Amino acid sequence: MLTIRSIALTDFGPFKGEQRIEFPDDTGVAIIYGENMRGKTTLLNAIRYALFGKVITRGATQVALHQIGNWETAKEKGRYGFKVVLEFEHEGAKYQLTREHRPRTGVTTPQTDMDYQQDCYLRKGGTVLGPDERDSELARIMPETVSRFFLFDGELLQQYEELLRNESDMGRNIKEAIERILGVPVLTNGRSDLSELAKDAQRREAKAAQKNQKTQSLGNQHEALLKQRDGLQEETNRLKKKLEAQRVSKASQDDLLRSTEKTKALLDERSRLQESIAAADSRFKEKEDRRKELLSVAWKGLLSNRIRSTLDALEVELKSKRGAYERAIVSTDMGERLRRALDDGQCSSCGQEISGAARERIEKLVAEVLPKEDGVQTEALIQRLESRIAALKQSEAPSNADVLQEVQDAIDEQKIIKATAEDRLTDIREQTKNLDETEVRRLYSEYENTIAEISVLQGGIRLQEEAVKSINENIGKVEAEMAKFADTDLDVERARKELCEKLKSLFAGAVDAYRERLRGRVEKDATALFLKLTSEPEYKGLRINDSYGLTIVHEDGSAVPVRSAGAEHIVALSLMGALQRNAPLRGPIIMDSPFGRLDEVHTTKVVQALPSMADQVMLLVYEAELDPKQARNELQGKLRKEYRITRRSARHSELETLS
Amino acid sequence: MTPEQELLDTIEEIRQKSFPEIPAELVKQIVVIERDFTENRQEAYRRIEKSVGEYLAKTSPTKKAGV
Amino acid sequence: MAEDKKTIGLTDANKVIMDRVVERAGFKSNLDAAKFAFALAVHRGCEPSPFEGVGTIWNVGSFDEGGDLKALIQNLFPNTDAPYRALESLMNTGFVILASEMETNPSLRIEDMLRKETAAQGQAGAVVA
Repeated sequence: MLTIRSIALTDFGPFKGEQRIEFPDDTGVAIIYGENMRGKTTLLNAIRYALFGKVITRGATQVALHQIGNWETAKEKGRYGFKVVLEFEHEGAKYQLTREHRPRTGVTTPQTDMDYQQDCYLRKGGTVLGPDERDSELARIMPETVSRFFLFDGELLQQYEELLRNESDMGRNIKEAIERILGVPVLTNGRSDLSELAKDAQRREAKAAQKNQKTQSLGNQHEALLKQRDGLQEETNRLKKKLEAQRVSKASQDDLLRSTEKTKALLDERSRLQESIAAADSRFKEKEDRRKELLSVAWKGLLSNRIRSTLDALEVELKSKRGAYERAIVSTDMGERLRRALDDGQCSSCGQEISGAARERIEKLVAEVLPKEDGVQTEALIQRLESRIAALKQSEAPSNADVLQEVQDAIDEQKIIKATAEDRLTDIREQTKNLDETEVRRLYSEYENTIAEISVLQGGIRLQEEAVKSINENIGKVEAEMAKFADTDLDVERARKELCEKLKSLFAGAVDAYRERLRGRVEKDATALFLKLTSEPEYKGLRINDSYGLTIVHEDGSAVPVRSAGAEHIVALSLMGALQRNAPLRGPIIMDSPFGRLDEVHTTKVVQALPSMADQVMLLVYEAELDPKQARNELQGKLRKEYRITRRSARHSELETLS
Repeated sequence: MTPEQELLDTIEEIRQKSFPEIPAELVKQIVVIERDFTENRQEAYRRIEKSVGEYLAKTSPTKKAGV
Repeated sequence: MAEDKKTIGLTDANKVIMDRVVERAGFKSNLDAAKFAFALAVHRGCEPSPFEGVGTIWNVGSFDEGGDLKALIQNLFPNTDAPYRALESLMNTGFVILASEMETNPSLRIEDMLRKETAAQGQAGAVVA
């Protein structure tokens, strides 16, 4: 396990001249207080620089090293360059690591990285190691890929959210890094190395068989099959690499699409609304046309009243005229008979003579009493009345007020539909006005292509693997044939092959078993730490997924899906602590501004838990983030050392020992 | 239990159950090599090859037969 | 007996009203509005009466294709010997009525008016019965 003893800086960042931090022998916590921009992150970078020769900013981008040297020293003394000396212990051995950047010979005023040269020495015990040994030793003690679990700032912690999304590219990287410190590569590398050794043994078996006349043709066959298999394997690997690349592509496209999902939904809604508006317009026009048609004839309905009353009057008159007409016919007929009687002098019915007195009466009757109606005239009148009535009846038309109202209602409805849609459309247009639509659509189509490509590749890989399987069967047959022949060399290579294959299977089985165990342990340890750090009584613990993503579990057994930044913080710290506990690779935890997102309660809990998270903990904080008094109270004996970074000038900070 | 021990225990358990004919010592050697040379794959391969070769040489039938 | 008119029209004021009615009610044409105005006047019980100051807008042949309107007017107003003159006067009267309605009720819709008038019609019918 790596334990840092001291860091000595020379003209590194704002740390002008030589400055040093000593760490206590015992396990515990060291706190370095410093306001923002005083150099807290620089300290972290100093360690990073010493170990890996790099300096990074908060955004994880590398900083040009020629910018690191202390500005004042350069200005005042014309001295450029910087140095970090790291003293540490690992597995009982004492190390001193020196890394320095100085101007190249002949360069007085260096301007770029090219004007500098880097020197790096690693002393182990009393001996300075050679460059190769130095590099492999450092890689063994603290590989760069896992440094994020030991040297980090508060902003790193949100990356652990990524672990919950299995497919994300960053999640995969972090998972690999975690497995790295948990030692899984020992087994996976072992598996692939042994697999390669087994194949190599097969090739040697072929060669051995070829040497022996009896087995020569078998040997040739064997070699040919092995070569074929190698070819297939290469192709499979190539496809797998492509598949992996596509998967990574898909993962980042997933992320992009997730952010454009909302946009696409808006665009789709926009299309729908435009269609809806067009449909409303069309229906509106249809109804409007119908309405105009109805209005065209509405006047007829309005006349019904008048027509009806006129008709009634006419019908009364008609009835009366008809009556009159009938009477006229009867009386005309009677008049005819009476005149004839007068002329004949006798009654036409009974034939009796008409007396003088009777003649007088009859004449009077004919002249005065019988109606003088003109039947013809009346008939004409009746006909006129009848035709008027018929014409009026034809003109009668019901009122279409109700139908008109219905149509108007339908028109109003369409107007509302259209207005609502237009409102929403305006809204959407506003939201999407700066959008590059073609870009969004392109993303989606690219995504579809990636998925299709992945499918094709998977199919191709399957076919290749089947072919490899088939060849392996043939190889097995040939090897079985070869085994029938006694030959020392052949036997040796066969034994080698069998041993390597067994070892490979052993390691393969161990990979899965170890992963299972590890996940179980990490979950258990992370849960224990989490319960110490959280103040929420209803949280039961943490649940781990395949990527070491941790979900908070409620006491009712359900997962807590959404977390605040503070909760994320706590979960990440729990993971950190659990990894430290379970990793074959262990070292100090150095945290830059870790309490920024935590409230006082949680800050207290984290501070209390720090000593149990790692043997050596270093905090780089500002006082508002963690009150020195509070820290001393909580940590008590475990607080080994306190420093403060104080300001001398904008470009000059000094480390002061507080305790 | 240290993490290294956990790893060794895991593989040893499987070895005992499924591959008892493989010597535990050889397995441990390979694990240590892989651990020490995780960043240097070529060196790891070379050393494993050597360990396997040495083991086979020790236990080969010809050797045993004293040939 | 005065000769009947060959062309009919509206007063200047009524022409303005007609344009407004066409626009507000959404009539397909001036003609439809004019017929409506005429019918409204008849419905309200107006009688043909002389109307001064009318301009010329329509030719009676195009206004009353087929002569149905003429026959109707002769039927409804048998005492008139100049049906188109009667039509003209009733039409103008109708627009005056419409103007008054629109002023009383600026947000009046033609459908509502029609319904109101024909509902009254129904009621009147009931009373008579």
